[in-house]
Amino acid sequence: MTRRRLRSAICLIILGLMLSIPSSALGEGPGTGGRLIRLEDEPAGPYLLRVVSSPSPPRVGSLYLEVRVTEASSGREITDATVWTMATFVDGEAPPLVVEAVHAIAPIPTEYASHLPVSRSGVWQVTITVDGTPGHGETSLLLQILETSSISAYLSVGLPLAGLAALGLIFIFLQRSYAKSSPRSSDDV
Amino acid sequence: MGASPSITADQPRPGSIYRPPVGLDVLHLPLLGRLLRWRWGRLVFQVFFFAVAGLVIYDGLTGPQLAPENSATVLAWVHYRGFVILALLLAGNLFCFGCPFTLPRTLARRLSLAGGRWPSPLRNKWVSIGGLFLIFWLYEWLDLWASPWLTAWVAVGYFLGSFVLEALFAESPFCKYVCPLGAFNFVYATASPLQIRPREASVCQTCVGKECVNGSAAVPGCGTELFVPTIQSNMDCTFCLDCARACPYDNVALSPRAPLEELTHDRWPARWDMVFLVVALTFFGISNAFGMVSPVYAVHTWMAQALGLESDGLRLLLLFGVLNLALPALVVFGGAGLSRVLSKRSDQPPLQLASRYAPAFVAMGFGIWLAHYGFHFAIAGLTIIPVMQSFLLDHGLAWLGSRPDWAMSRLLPQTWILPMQVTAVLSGFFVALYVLSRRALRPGTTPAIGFRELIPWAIVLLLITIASLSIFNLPMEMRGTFNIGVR
Repeated sequence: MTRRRLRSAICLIILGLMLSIPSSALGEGPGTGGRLIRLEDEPAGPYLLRVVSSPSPPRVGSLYLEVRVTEASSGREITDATVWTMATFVDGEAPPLVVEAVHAIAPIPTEYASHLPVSRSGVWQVTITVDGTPGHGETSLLLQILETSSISAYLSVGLPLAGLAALGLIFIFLQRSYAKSSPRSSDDV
Repeated sequence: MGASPSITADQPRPGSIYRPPVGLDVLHLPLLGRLLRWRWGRLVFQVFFFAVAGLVIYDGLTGPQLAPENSATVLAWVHYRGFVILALLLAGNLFCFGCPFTLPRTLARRLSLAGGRWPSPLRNKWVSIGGLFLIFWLYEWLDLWASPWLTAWVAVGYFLGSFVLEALFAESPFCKYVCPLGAFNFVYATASPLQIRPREASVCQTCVGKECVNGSAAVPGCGTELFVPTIQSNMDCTFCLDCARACPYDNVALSPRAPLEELTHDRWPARWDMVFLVVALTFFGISNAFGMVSPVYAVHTWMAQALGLESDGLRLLLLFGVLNLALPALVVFGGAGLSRVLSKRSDQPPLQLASRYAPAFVAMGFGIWLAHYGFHFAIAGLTIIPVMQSFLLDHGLAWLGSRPDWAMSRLLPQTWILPMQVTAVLSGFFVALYVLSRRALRPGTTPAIGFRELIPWAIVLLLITIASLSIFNLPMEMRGTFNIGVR
């Protein structure tokens, strides 16, 4: 093996070894699609809260919140608090929702998550309360909830079918024109 | 270095193909043209993308691991995908042009161990198809979209793959035969408006050195070994513009072509790998979007209960194996078989029929990917601003403000997005029908026979359209939360 090839082989082996070095910086687990950070280190009593909502945009029937609780004084993440999420409709009448946020459904296990099946489109006020050893904390935010989207069947099925039918008609027309100009053809549609 | 490519007698001769005169030439536009033709012109763009890739790796490995807060996940899964699909629609294969993964090539070439040629059995798209399957499977299984750390390692993997293959082989097999991103870009660049072509065919006829492919003393020739006067397709063209820089006669143009020219003309290579790639990519588009909506969890639950598959990875492997491999295979072989039966012309080989109608799936797939990637880009395009604010603040820099503005997200009004998705999918379908009909109407065949041939393909496209619109009609689900007890 020439010196050049030996050098090249050593470089590649070093690269391979570098890749095989285990790292402790693993991600914190699965997340949710279309998440948006709504509050970042928002003061709530003795706590700082990060609130993430999903999906984006939140729609009627599906509002999911993830809450990270950290102690403001130490920056330590609090994992043994009781966290409640409450949604109140601002734009009119709708029953309020109160749901406890729990670790069990949180993609990041140290955080708290809740599913709020909001019933109407419009602005909802979401209040998050935290009770733990450091004390009580509370913060609120406003979220715009959209109607569930819907594509008419006329559009999603009817229009493509009409397109296919139109293609058939065009070919019938073309075949007739072809047959007139080439009368010996025996093909038909 | 191994053997350099050279023009041989069995390749089409320059001037044998009719070429309309070149009108607009991007390479001769003021400023931009000069920059692109400059010897280091590509490097400018590559350095920019290299810096972005460096940020993805650095922030992914060291930054916050909440996906919407980290530039690795936001840049890779929102901005890269949005940029690629829009660039392909409006111009061409711009990502491969600025590809950062090929930047360490010079070093790799100096390290070149053997300089051999890529093995003949692998000189096709099957490896790329395998790579696409792998990356989409990993994307869903490992939730790459939610993990900045894993996203960073994907970028590292691309750098490493490109580097190692460049070091081991004389040509650029990573781009042409391996890279899943490249395969995606090559396929949809066949619908793009710009293409490399000679300014004057007669100049190529009298050219001795063929520097565009063989290279000159200062500039390498085409990395994927395309010869400019015979280029009829954007397939395998990375838009690197080495051909333009190497040409001593300044005879290479990057010019617009007629819309859908490549898809409607009978230039598609009769190869099973190419047919399967374009059809499968359409199904990849559906399965990738399907992974975002709630019915996928019902499928997971059913598979866990009925088949006893406890592993998420195994369930996804089976699901994607059916959706992305078995179904496309059924469509390709079934479509070709039905075309033959319906047209009553048993003399036509199935490969010929499949390659005749497969290009319609480029248009269909493009519509689906545009609807999907465009959705993410429209809904979260501005997220990069607070993400960069947060990144800089984490490093003690308040250049973009003292607090991230997390309210910034949407690029377009919410009410526009679903109609735009529907328009993209329906446009893809109607353009696909147009492509089918143009390919069916050809000399020596009556419209009736052509119509009978295209019916199976048109019905498949109809079903794909309805399925895609049904998926996009569903709200994107809260992934990673509703499948509790299944994972």
